[in-house]
Order: sequence, then structure tokens, then C-alpha cells
Amino acid sequence: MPKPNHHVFADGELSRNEGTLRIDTLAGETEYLPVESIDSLYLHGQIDFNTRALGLLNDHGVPAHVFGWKDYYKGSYLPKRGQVSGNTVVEQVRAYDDDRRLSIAQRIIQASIHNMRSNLRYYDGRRGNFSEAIADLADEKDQVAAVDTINEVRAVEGNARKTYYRCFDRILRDPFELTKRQYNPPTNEANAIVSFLNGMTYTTCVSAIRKTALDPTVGFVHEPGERRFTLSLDIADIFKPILADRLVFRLVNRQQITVDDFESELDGCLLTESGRMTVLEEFEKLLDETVAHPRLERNVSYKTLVRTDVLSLKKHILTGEEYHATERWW
Amino acid sequence: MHVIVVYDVPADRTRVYRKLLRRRLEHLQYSVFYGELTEGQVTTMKNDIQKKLEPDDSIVVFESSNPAAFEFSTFGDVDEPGSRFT
Repeated sequence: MPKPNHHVFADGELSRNEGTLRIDTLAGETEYLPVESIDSLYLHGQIDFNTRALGLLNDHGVPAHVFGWKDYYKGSYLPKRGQVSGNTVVEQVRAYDDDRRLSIAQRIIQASIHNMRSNLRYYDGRRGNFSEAIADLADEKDQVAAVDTINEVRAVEGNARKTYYRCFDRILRDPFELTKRQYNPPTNEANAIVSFLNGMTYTTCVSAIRKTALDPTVGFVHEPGERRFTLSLDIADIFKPILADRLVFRLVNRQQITVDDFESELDGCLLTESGRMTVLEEFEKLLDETVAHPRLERNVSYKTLVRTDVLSLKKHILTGEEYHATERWW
Repeated sequence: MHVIVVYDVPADRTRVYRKLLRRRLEHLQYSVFYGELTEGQVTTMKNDIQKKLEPDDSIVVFESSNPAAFEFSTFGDVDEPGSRFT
């Protein structure tokens, strides 16, 4: 099992003490985090820290993801690269620039559509009849293979996502509804929880990519721009249906999350702190869950799946071996 | 691997082991540490302990590689061991 993440909700101070991380909360509690047993640190509260604390995170290769007002993702403090390989970066950019880009993008989007479809198949007959949408998604997945520009790939993906999100309404227990995906800020409860978990999926991908020599800014589906990790966005697309959406359905339908866990003010709708805690606890449990992996012939956790996906992409870029984008097989 | 480490050492030497253990494990009570480690981490930890060892020190390491064989209950004023939230 990979190392667990740690989430800090309390406000306070993060410092280095006796070779490990120490958190002094404003409530007067002191806690020590085992820095060697932490995968990533998530800072949700108001935290003061100094360079010594960052240096320690650096030494142990622990990325810290920072969340700001109402838990909007602000950014990450990433440790110095443990894996450096000029070769990989050069090949990654080459792959972006030549005909490999299209095929990688196609694989990513196919996997993404496959995972959306498998979610619908799970709920088909349980919470409604989705046979039409399932057939549409299958068509769209085939369509991805047929197109020959990146823009068309993205167009197909957009259509697939629209088809997919239209089904959310019927899957989610009332009064949750998602007729249209909206964010910045999310406009209703369903959008809010989807946004929050998409953010968590994204940071999971950022952490996984950081453990390889790949450059997170050069993506294949998304156009590399300024100030964003486009490769993380690409990988997150594959995992959103697995890590975010499926969890949303479960939390809402089992009434672990109710409308009381949201607050709406200033035109938006956001999770309350206790709501976020519930969601994160379940998200962490999900990351630990394991499935039997046919190629590796062992049980791997969902968190490791993200990792294997990224490693497979790296191998594909370097050696041309087939890229196995994670398609739900279980 | 679930690991519990307890120590009973002279008062002026507790910090030696506290420092060493806190890096990897959760500090549950004064001389009790708990956590989930990889086999490699356990080996390094044992080696580190061995290096610091002096005649009066006594340290016990409990390990269980089978998660199904591990359970715990808490009473009173304790945080749930293994919590990922602060």
C-alpha cells in the first residue's frame, strides 16, 4: 500500500521539530506528523510555515497542496525533483510535437469515455435506464479513434461529457441535481461536490506525476498554456469518473452527504467544512481500496493505479511500448 | 505492515528514541508509537534503534503484516490512531 496523505484543516503553524513536522494549532494542540510516512500534505486551513518546514518536506519528497478560501485549490509546493531525466523531458516534448500526440490524446480520451461509460453501466437498471447514453458513449469512443486532429478529439470528448453529465440527474438522489456542469463558482450542490472531488483528483495526479521525470506542464489533450499543469489535467480526465464521480454518486445516494452539508452565499454553492471532511475521509478510503491488476498480477490500490498510468505513459514516450491508459476493468 | 513500538529507557535517553520514531510513526502516548510502514521502513527503523542502543534501554517492536489480524479500540481522551486529519 502506498503511503497515506495527510490533511490539515486546523489553523496554525507548521514547523520542523526533531527532524519531523510539527503542527501547533491555534486551539493549542501540538501534533507531530511522521514525515517519512506521508505521501502528500494537504493544507486546508490557514497555516504559517517557514523555509525550514519546506526544507524538510523537500528532503522527504513530500508535496504540499495548498487550498485557499472555501477550499479552492491554490497551488502546490512541490519538492525538488527526485527524478530528473533530460531525456524524458526532451522525448515528452517531441511526442507532443509529432504524430505521437494524437495517438496519446486518443488513448487518454478513450479511457476517459470508457470510465464514464462503465459508471453508467453500473447504475443502468439500478437508478434508471441509461442504455441510450451507454450506446452513445460507445459510439463516441469509437469515434475518437477515427478523427485526425486534436481539436476533433476534444470535440468528441466534450460531447461525451455532455451525454454523461445529463445522466447525473437520474443517478443522484433528490434533491441533488446536475443538469449542467458549472463551476467557478459551482452553482448548486451537485456541481459543488463534483468540483471539489475533481480538484482532489487533480492534486492526486500532480503528486503522481511529480514522482516521475515527466514535465507536468506539457500535456497532450489539453493545450499547454501558462500557469497550469496540463499533463495533470489530462491524467485527471481518465480518473475523474473513477475517483470523483463514482464517489459523488455513492455519498449522495447513501445520504452521507445531504443538502445541509452545503452553504450558498454570493451566488455560489460550496461544501461546509464538516461536509468536506466527510467527503475527504471517503476519498482517502477510496484511494486505499485495492483491485486485482491483470498485468501486474497483484492487488494495487486506486492511488497506485494513477501512478502506474503515469509510468506507462512515460514508458510509451521513451520506448514506444504501448500506453495503457487506465480503463476500468473491474 | 502495522507496527507498534514501545520503549522503556532511562529518562534522559527517551528523546533519542522519540526523535527516531516520530519521523515514521504516530506518537500515541508517552512511550507508545503506532503506524503503518513498509517492510523497508521497518528494517531501517530497527537498524536505527540498534545503533542508538545502550545497556539500560529496552525497546519492543510489534509487527503484523496481516491487516485482518489487527484491531483496536480506544477509550477516553485519545485520537483515533492512524487519523489522516488534523
